[in-house]
Amino acid sequence: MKVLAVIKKELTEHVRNFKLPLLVMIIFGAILMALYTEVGPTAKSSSVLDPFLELFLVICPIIGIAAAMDSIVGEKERGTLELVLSKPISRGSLLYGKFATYILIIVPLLAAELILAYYWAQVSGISTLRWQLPMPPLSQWLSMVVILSLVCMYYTALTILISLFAPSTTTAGLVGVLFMTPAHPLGGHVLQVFLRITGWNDFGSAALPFKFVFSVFGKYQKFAVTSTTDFLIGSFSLLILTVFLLFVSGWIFEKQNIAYRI
Amino acid sequence: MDTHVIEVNNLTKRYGKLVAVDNISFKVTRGTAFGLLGLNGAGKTTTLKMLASLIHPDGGSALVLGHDVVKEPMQVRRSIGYVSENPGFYSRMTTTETLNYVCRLLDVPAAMRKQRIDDNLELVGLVDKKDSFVGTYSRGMRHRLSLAQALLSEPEILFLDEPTLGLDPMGAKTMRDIIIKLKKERDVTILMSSHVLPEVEAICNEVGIFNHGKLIARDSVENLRNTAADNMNIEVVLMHPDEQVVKALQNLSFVNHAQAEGSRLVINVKKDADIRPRILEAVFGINKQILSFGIQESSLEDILLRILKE
Repeated sequence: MKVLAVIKKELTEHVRNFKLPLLVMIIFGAILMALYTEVGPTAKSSSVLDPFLELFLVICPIIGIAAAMDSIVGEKERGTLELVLSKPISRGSLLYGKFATYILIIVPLLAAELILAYYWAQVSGISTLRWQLPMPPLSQWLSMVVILSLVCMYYTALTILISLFAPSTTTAGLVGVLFMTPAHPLGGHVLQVFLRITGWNDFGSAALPFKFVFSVFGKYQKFAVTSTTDFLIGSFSLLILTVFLLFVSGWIFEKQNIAYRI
Repeated sequence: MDTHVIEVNNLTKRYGKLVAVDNISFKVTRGTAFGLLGLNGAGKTTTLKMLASLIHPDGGSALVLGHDVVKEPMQVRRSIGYVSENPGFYSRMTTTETLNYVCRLLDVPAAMRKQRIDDNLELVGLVDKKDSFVGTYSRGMRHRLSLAQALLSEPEILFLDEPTLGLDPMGAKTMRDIIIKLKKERDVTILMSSHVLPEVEAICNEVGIFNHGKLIARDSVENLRNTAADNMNIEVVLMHPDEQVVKALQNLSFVNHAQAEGSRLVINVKKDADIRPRILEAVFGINKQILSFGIQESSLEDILLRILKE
């Protein structure tokens, strides 16, 4: 399997570059902020999960974008795309191998650090002493981890697609950030205005096809963690969108007239 | 068995309005070395990339070892080795890791990888760099590594795109010697692009000359050498540059081409003792301030320039 060869090579390279320690630091730093600063839960928060989600629903897209921004365009910049594609490997295999590597690195790190944070918050007693709030059940915390992992996957796939067309790694990153709009407060505001116009009281009462679109919005993702039905809808929608983006990227890449060096 | 390992028919590639390769056709015989000659932007690299199935042609067809480059790209890539003009590698990977990755992409059985890697590293003289990171390599070493990776598939055809581009004279000579050794010792057909004529002369049996995307001439290196031997260069140095003299010489029917580099004129003509006085007469008729007049043997470069001019 050529995909496995790509994964092995990508892992070897990533272990040696700045991205892996940077990723660990970003997640760890964000957890520290959520645990010990005003960015995290306070006595005024309605639940421990809310501030955590507010923070990580912005950080996770950034992680996805940072991981994948040089996926294809980076190979062109280094002149290595010619080396790989002159061998009997389909362009799709290269692309899927890269995606799989990013996910293999990001998701276990994110999940492990967040689960550790959950137990640390309980063991250290921070939830009662500092936040004066009860810790949510583990199942709800894990729902948050799943949603955040899916958000990372979605933005990784989206950035790979952007990377096919971008003239440089920096441009791919910047365009990726533009596509982050649904994840930050502006996107949330747009969604609230839309809800008001349609007359729906909350996300729960929205029609199913709309929830599919809502799933890319941080506001809805936050809501989905607290509702079993919406968690399933949101997770499934994000997964479908990620697979769709990957499929489209693979198809475009196969057909694309590549400039091998930029 | 078909003796032609590459068959190109009316191959065309366009980039918007620019026709990079314009309806070219040629065949390459097994075991020979075919050189694509031409100036920068003539369409040599695009042709090589289409034959290596790296880019899709817009028209025509090409068969490499009987496989269509568009319909059967995997079979084509399995049986060729490709050396790009500017080889890029993963700087954080060692030589062995890089070649192992290429072996996996080529489906080289795990048991054979080590031997094959060692053999090719020895051929290109990089055995002592096995565990070095490729990021620490010089340009010459990268070119040699590129050749080593291209040989991992034990290719029947080797595509070399400007194999000595940007190398210092020593590096270029090393690379050239390795290619000549390869040609002698392994049953490999070579298709290379270059604008370094001594290199093409040393490696290739046959050449195709490209200009503005078109294959304007093809001949054996032997024939070109004979044509070159039939011609000579006359060098005239004037006191001051004189455009009028150049124009007058270019209009003479027996002058293949005349070019000026400042006050130095190089006139390529057919080898004939009678011509020299006539050249001198023509120059003297316009400009009497001649500093020197000499004769040089004509080279392949003169032939190339003449064909391009025609």
